[in-house]
Order: sequence, then structure tokens, then C-alpha cells
Amino acid sequence: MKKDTDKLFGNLSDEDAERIAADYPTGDKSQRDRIFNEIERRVEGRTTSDDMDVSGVETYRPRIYMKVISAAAALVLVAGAAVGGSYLLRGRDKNLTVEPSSEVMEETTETTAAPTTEEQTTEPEVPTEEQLLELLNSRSYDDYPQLNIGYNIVSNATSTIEHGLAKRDMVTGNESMMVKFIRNPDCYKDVDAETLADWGIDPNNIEEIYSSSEMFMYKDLYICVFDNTDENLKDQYEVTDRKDSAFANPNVFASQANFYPEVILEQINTGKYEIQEISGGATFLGRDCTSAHLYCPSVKEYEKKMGRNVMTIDDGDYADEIQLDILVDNETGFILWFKDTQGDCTEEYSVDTLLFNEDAELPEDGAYIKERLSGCIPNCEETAAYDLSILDETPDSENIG
Amino acid sequence: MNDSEILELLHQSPQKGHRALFDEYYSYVYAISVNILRNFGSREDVEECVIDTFTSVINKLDGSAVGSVKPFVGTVAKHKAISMRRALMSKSGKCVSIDSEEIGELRSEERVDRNAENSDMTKQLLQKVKELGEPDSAIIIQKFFYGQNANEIGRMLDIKPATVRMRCTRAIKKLRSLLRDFY
Repeated sequence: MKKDTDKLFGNLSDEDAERIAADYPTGDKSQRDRIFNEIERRVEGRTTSDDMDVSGVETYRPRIYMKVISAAAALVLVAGAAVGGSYLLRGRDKNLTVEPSSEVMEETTETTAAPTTEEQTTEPEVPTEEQLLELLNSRSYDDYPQLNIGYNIVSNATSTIEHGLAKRDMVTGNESMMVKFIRNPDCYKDVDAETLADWGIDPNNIEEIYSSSEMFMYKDLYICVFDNTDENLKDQYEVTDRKDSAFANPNVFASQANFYPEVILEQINTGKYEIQEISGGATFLGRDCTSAHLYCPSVKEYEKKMGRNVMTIDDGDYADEIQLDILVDNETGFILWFKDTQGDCTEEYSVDTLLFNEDAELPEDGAYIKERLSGCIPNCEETAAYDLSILDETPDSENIG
Repeated sequence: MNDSEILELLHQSPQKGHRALFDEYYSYVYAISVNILRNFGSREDVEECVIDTFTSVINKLDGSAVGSVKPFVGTVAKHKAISMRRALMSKSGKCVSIDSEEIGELRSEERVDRNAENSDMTKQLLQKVKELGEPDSAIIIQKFFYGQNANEIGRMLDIKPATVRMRCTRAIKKLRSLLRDFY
């Protein structure tokens, strides 16, 4: 029948085709967007990024470069925490590693590279741009009584690897998050010895520089144990009321301060990126995913739109355009992987642990936290005076059921 | 949005102007392209032709003024599609001798005789498709004229792909019945 119909439509004049176009417009939004974006790429003399008249504003560094600065700044802040108290907190042990279940670990080895697309006998369902945005924004970390998400972020710009693992128990409201930054010595190659000394770094021992923090959002307390390479700042902790912390409510996964995918999603929602291509049929951690390629034509234009100071560019290596590839879990809407590319600089985020409910580990209980604190010193008098008797109460697990 | 509004927008905000031009003429260009490339190129070739057409049109409109947009867009689309069809035929070894009977397959731009011969038949066909009613008429056109698949049609018309397939099958049967007297 198709052949018959092809024959019918094969004899149309240009005028007939024009009439059909008028009566029956074609192309859904995602198809139109994809084609239009390709047209824009080919059009010479793009007007989206380079014709902004910028003056009298502060110098901008893209976020990737900010990580170089923040790496140093973190150490400075840690030094500040030691004498006055801060929220900069360091980790539980020197070898903090994410420990996914064996099942997930096996899958992890397959997913350290970019996601793959399965061979399928049927064409995978490809969502529209609207459907993808709806999927992303429909994510709900609160849908699961217990949830663990572990991740790695690898940045070639700062030679930094970040390992993180967050746990939540919605039944008790307790949460924990461990983060460890491992920095390549190259990060400090341009820092003079005096400055390194100020940061508590031995210039002769910068091969394995790390900083880590272990945060416990336990009942009404926020406790953070921090650790780093600086011998003077090892194993310190800070305590404050949870209501005064960034984790007043159980929101460890939704915090942009801790969860990088939330930053990416916010940028997508505020129009930083144009979605150029959406594909179905990808798998990651054994889960069905949708992949998308996004493009930010001009960071400058976006920052200006957001009402932030627009920057003058004086770095020859700076690239204004950003490419972003993401992988979204079809079931949960969680971003499981992304890679942003800005010139030669890349940052790659990948989830290596995703455990739900009975498979998930509970956040550390009072007994564990108490034991952990026993080997640490308070970072200030206020912390030292804190009443931690709540840690002695019956473990939450025994109070349930 | 009319042509003068598009031209004004192109002047004031080129990127918005590009999008307005694209939205206004996308179906027009696609229809011309698919009509000329049918049986010669793939879906990707049609899209490539559409992209090439708009790229040329935008470059032209960004640099200089044109009197009327629609005829200009249509002419560029036709030329691009014909060029692509020739290239595809050449690539596939479908080079046709001037003496060959197949030369008739190569449309000239005028095609006065063919248009006259087919115009009544085409009118009847489009009328019968229209008589199917919505969304069946749209499904038939999108599938068999534009070459869209069920998923794409479903997204366009906001109905499930399975429903598209079912309605398409029924509509084809009905159309076949309606056209029995003409074909």
C-alpha cells in the first residue's frame, strides 16, 4: 500500500506540495529544534555570542577554572576553620572510597566510559525536548524511603577527582554525605613555597594532596568531620544545630551546594543550554536512559541574562562555548552522567552507586558518629561545648517497628 | 507572522528573525524538498536539503534585502533539492542518458504538461484525504507525503504511536475505497 501511496504523492506539483505544507504543517518541536540548531551552526557570522558590547565589568572565569581557585580557597578556609570555626569540613578516613554493592560495582566497570547504546530490535522511544525536560524536573529524591547516590567527578582542568557518597533515610530524616577531593600536584605547580606554607602544605610532599569531609545530618544535629593533608588540620569536627545548617530539611540530594547535577539542571531550566539532540536506547548502571547533547552558544550571554556581571575575556585559552552531554535515567529522572566541555577543559560526572530502599545503606547512626568523633578534636570552643548526648540515645533502627 | 514582520525581526534581532523565518517556512521548504527528492534520497537527505536551503536563505537575508521572502525561499528550496537529486543520482550510478526513457524522471522546473495531466488527479486525491477527517487526514499526509514515522506523528498530533498505526491502517483502507473510481 505504501508503494501505491508513494505513487500518488510522487506526482505532486510544487504548487500541490505548497498547498499541503499550508494545510498540514510538519515537524514536532524537537525535530524542528534539531534542524534549526544545525542551521544556526552553519550560518556564518553567528549573532548569538560575539557581538555583545561589554565594558567596565569584572573579569570572568568559567566554572571549570573556578575549581582551580576553589581548590586553593578550600585550604584557606580550612585554615580559618581551625581557629574560628566554619562549615568547611573534612572527612572520616584517609581512604574514603565509595563502596557500592558488588552488583553495582560490576556494572560500574562498564560505565566508566561514555554511555553506550544497546543494539535493539525495535526503535527506542525518543522523547521530545518537552518530555525530556519534564522527565528531568519530575525527579523526586523523596520518593524513596532510603536512597544512596555515589558519584565521581573528574576534571582535567584542575586535575581533580571528587568522590562523593550521599545517603538518606526518609523514615528517620537522617542523612550523611562524604566527599573527598584528590588533587594532582600540578594544581600547585604555580604556587610559591611561602603560599603553600600558609596553606599548611609541605612543598616537598605534594604528591598526594587531598581534603575530605564527612557530614552527618543526625536528628537535630549537623556534625561535620574534616580531614586533609595538612597535619595541623587533621581529624577536626564541627557541630551546629541542623536547623542552622544547609540541611535543615532532608535535602542532601537536592542541594546545589553538594549535588552538581542540580546545578546543571538549574542551568538547563534557566536557558543556558539549547538541546540539540535527544536519543533513546542508552544504558548506564544497567538502567534505561535517554541521552541528550546540549549546547551553550555563549556563556557571556547567559551570565548577562541571569543578571550577573558580564566578563571581559583576557585568557587566550578561554572558550565561550560549552557542549554538554547528559544521560538521564528514564525511571527516576536522575542525571546519571554528564560531561561538559569548554574548549580543552572537561568535567565528567558519573554516578557509580545508585541504591534504593532495602538495597540502600542507612546513614551512619549515633554510635558510629560518636566513635568517629572520639578520635577527633573540636574546631572551636563552641563546638567543644555542644551537648552530644543525643548520640547516646537508642539507635533509630531499634525505634522503628 | 508575515514577511515584512520577519524581515523587520531579522533586522532587529537576527537570531529571533532566523527562528521566525524557519518556523514560518519550515513545512514549505520540507514539502518542496521531499516532493523533489522522493524515491531518490533518504530522510536524512531531505533534512540536509532543508538545512542547506535555510542556511543559504539566512545568509542571503542577513547580507542583503529581498523583495518578497516566500518566492525567494521557494526558489532556493527547489534549486537545492534538484541539485541534491542530481548529486544523489550521480552517486548512485543513476546517470541517465539524454536518450533514455528515464530522462522523463528528471523534472524540469516547468513541467507544464505533467502538472496539467496530474492536477485533476491530485486535487481529487487531496480532497479524498481531507474527507477522511482529522486526525486521519493529517496522519496520511505526515506518513506518506512527509515520511514521518508513527512516533513523530504521535508527538505532532499528541496521540500515542500505537493509535497512529491503528488509525493509519484504517484510513488507508478507507482511502483506497474512496479512490477506487480514480485509480
